[in-house]
Amino acid sequence: MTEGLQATPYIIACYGLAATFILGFGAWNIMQNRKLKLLKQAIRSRRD
Amino acid sequence: MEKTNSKNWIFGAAALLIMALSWVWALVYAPSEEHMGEVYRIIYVHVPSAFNAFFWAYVLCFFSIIVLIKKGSAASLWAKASAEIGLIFTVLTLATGSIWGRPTWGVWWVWDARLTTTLILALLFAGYLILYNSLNANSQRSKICAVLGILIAADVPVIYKSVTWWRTLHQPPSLMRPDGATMAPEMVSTLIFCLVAMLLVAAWLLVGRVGNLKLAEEIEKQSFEQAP
Repeated sequence: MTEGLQATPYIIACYGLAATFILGFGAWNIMQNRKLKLLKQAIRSRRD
Repeated sequence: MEKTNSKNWIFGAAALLIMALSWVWALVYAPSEEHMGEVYRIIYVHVPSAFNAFFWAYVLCFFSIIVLIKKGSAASLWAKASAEIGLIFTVLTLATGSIWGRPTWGVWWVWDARLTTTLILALLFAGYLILYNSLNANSQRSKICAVLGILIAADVPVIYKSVTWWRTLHQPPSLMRPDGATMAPEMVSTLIFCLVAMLLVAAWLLVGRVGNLKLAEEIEKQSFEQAP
């Protein structure tokens, strides 16, 4: 039990870091996609 | 385009859900390890991350070969996205390995062959991306980056074999051994589950990234056409 408690911060750090990396990159991708679509729309409307 | 987007959303949500389930399985249902105790559960993040790092290095090599064979194809965008995903998972491997090293070895970092060759892989991925972004978009950039992309894959077998070629602190392979895995079958199945889940998430990230790179390229072309 004590051993398990000692390991907890390391386990949380690893899983938390992995979740942050993956979800962070995914969210950045989605936000960039929205930004690029808006930019494309703006360029198209300026041309029309 | 909208249909592709919604498909990507469904795929992403499913992949993330599978990864969350695999982590619950790894933290709650997987058996405890005799020598390392509970801290060994880091293996279910560390090994899938390392597998992804190696896998995307080979994918980068594959697309780099396509770039050299079929000039002017979209393969260079796929190669760049593979390098980005590869870099993320290599850094994650180094970070989780370092966190795991502290309670088991007593140190955060040691200049051991496995760790050093993995750090080299991260630097190679970073170098590829710096090179790609610093050169002008033309066929020469595609060629130079493709050659580097192929060379990066050569580091993967060195990393894998480092624990047998040199005396290292890192443990030898426990899964792909000629005399069979040294892990309990329940641990192996959990590890494979986590590995497949992380691979699916990485594939979703890659598809999204390639979509964005294509969109950015289209915008660049459009703005060039409009320029007076």
